[in-house]
Amino acid sequence: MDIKKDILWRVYLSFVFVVIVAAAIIGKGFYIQQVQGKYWRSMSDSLHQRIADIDSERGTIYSEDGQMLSTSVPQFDIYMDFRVEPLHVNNGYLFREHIDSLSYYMADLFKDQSADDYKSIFAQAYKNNEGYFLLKKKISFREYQKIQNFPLFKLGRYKSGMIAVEKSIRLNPYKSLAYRTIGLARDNNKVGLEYSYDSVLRGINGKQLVRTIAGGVGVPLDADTYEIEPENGKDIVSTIDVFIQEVAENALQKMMVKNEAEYGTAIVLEVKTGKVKAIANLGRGKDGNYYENYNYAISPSEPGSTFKLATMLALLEDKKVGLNNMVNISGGTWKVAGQTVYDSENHGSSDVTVQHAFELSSNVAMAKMAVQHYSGNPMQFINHLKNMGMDNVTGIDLSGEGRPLIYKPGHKLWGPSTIPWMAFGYNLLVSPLQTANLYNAVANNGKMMKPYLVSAIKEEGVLLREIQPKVVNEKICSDQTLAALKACLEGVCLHGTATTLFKGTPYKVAGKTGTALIANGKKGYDDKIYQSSFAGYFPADNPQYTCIVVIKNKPHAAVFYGAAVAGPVFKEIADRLYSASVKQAPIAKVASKPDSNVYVYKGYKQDVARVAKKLKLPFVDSSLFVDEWATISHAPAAGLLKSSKVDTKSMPSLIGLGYKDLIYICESAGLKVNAQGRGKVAAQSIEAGAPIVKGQQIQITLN
Amino acid sequence: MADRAIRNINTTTKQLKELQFEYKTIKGEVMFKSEENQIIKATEPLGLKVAKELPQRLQVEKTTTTSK
Repeated sequence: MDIKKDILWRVYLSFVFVVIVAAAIIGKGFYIQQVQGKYWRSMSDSLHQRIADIDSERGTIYSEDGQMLSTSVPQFDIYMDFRVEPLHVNNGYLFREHIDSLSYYMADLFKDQSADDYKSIFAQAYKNNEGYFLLKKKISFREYQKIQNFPLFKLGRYKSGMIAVEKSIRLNPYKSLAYRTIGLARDNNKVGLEYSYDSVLRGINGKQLVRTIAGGVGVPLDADTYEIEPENGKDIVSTIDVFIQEVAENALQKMMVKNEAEYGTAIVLEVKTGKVKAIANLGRGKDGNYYENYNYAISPSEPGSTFKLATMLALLEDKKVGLNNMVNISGGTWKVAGQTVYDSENHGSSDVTVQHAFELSSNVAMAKMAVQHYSGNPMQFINHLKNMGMDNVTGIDLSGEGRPLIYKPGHKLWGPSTIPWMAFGYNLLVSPLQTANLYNAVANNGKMMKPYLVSAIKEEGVLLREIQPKVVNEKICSDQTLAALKACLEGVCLHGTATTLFKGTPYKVAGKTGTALIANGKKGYDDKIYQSSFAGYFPADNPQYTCIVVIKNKPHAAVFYGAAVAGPVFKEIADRLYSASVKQAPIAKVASKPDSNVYVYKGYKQDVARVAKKLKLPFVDSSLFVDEWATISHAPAAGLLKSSKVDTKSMPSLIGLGYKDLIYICESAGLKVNAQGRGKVAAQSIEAGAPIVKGQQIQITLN
Repeated sequence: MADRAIRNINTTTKQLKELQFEYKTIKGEVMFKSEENQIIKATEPLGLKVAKELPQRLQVEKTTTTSK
């Protein structure tokens, strides 16, 4: 034998053996990892405990009048652990005992499946020995309370295996009311105040020990123990007034439904402070209903004629024109820079005063005056707009405020038509809130406030921080200009585009209509989509609220004028707010009836005397006896208490008697009483002095 | 003693929380029902409508005759 060969085959044999062993190890490893992997991983999970975050309770958003606008309420997911010991002792007696009634109650409460369906679900899960079986998701606190008293479940977690996992959701009790402004607080998507004040509302999360089971789901070891207690968020008090918000929203919605408008917004500001008292945003959904789907109030668009106030302010402040200057509005059309300016309403006038041109909402007049006075020095006009804050956001404490756009000379879109069109609210973008804030400044004697939505931060009802009104611009123009502007705005409602609207209104309104044709994407202005608006304040002589209504109509809408679409909404809001503050209601002079001067009261003498004494009614007692019937009346002398003879043979006068006394007298005389009304006797069917027949009926009228 | 106090605190906290939830739930329902729109809907069958006219303020003229 060759020794070399002998060694070689042994080496080969060993090598093959090693390869087989290696392959087996790799194979087994693969098998454990891939084939059995899920089983082993879940087993590993179930043996672990970890610290999980517990969400802190989010603060509540209150309205100015203390109503909850958005608050956190719990929502529960109900799981069942069918592995708990008590469900299996005695051959599962407890489970079998309760399963029928439990199924019945579940079906009765949720009405989503029949009792039999529930029963088979329970039975199946029990058979599979499920440890964390999802029974029901997202049930309310109400339903949770009921479930706790269901058969089996009322035995508690450790006996029934029922596990309730609590989650916090946001509840808006008023549902859609100011929904966009209050906002959403979903984990990945927050808008409105919920977003702006998230850091205040959120609080600090706590920590809790949980046992991880299959699928990485954490089951709390004990529902009520925390490693670190979550710290709840603070509450915020918004400036929104539920009543005003409701009024604004309803008025807006009514008009929008009527006109099938695309979207609209209504804002109400408190003049003195700039507080936003209401902010309604409605957009038409695909189903034709209206929803708070976007914050239109803070989204810039071409404002149209409501912007003429800014133009007037500039012209008056620079003393370029006076209210009584004449301006030729050329019958409502004017060619400039190769384009034509049209007045939206056909007035047929040509020479009018500046004030009346404003009242008629003449685009021609505004364009002409702006071209005449500012085309040489456009920055002078732009600087006025800057001074009014029109080129910048208002800084309201609401996220998502769109930036306005005001072209400046040198911009690639600046041209000869920029200034004339800007003068009547085109070729620029400002938000309804900005426009409202400008009107508010005029109402507030030139002081421009920063509009705001949150007035205080509270914790458990204790005030932490109060947010004060903030002045943005102490004086946007001179007092003289201010007076002229006010006259113009009041003129619009007295002899301008809004005259018919406010006819007979018991308070004075100052405002401006706006009707703007707006471009619709590629189709340009062909679709005839009009944006109707109305901005103003009331009562004009002592402004309390500023309100703006902007409605974007559907294409080719039949009614589109500012005074006909946005105006009525404004009026309804103004009417309701005005009538709600009765302090300002007009005093109706009513001739008083001297009721207390003509009176007859009759009754048992001691009672009458006692009442008169109590009321401090001076009276003179002229009666003779203590125990008798008496009358007190205005004649012949006021406050004379005299005895009134009541016998049982002839009918006494019952005038002035109360019900109890008349029953006593009549029934003791044997009469049957049929009385109507309340108060004291005004008429009797049997005249005084007539003889009484026992059993006779007597009709009495009380008043 | 301390144990009992802790246990008491726990149960009371739990009770307080549940009562808060109950309060919020009920308050929310009441608020929704008292919303103007809802009231209008609820009172429609009764024939009630929102008043369109402004309320009147009455002022009684001062009269000279008073009872003595």
